[in-house]
Amino acid sequence: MTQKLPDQIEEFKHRILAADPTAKFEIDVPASVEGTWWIDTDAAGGSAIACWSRERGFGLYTDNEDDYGTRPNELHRSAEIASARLLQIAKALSSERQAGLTLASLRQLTGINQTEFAKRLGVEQPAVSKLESRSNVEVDTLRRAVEALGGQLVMSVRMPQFEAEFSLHESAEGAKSVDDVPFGSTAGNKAISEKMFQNSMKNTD
Amino acid sequence: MSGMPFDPASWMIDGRMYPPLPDSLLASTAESAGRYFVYQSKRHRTIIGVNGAIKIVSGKMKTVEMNKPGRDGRTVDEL
Repeated sequence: MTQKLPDQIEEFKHRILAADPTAKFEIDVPASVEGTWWIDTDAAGGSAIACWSRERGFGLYTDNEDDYGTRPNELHRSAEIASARLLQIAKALSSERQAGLTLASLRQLTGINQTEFAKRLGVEQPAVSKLESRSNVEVDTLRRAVEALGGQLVMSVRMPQFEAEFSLHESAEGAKSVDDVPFGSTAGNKAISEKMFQNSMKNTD
Repeated sequence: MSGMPFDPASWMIDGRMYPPLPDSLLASTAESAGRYFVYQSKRHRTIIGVNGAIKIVSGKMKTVEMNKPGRDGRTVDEL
């Protein structure tokens, strides 16, 4: 018995076709309603693989590797963001082997321009342009940028024996200097954070 | 040992490669019904025959990576 295409996948397809009317899809139907749908997409000059399940939403692969049995690198709950991100990935994979999420692509997914981003960060637009093009950014600068986009920067470590979320400090009280203050943890830190951000923008790669 | 925790329930990449899981079983077709089961994963299809035969194909070109006969000596294509 063939299942009806879920509404989420219909919307995903519709949004990609709106951006690229030449897009092509190859969709594999799972055996059960709880199973995973597979959506191979040719669009934006490249191709990318997505999967979807009722429980987890959209999973996207950000590389072209042929490794067997690996799981998606990204999870997305909305068809709107998943389709926009898939187009970014397909375009990037047309010339690169990896399509990691950059600050610029994250900003684009949130639908704000550099001017608005700069306003939220309290800097001028050229500073944002420079920040987005840098390959080496201070952690606190990145944390503040992600928070300005409405997100949360989470770091993790992967050790031979374990995996864990990583933090620079356990609490603000443990901080001893401006350099040690967790970014934007209190209103009082805001001014310090502003200074740190401005200083970091002066650094070169 | 890779050192990565075994967590087949996790959808996110964790550095391990997993065999086909139940949620990746595709719906049967007129061609496959009663002959074999197809499991989809990233760029690969794993086909398990009713006789235990295993065939793995990869990519859009359907390159055959593995093709082992089942208990009766027949491969997936011979079912």
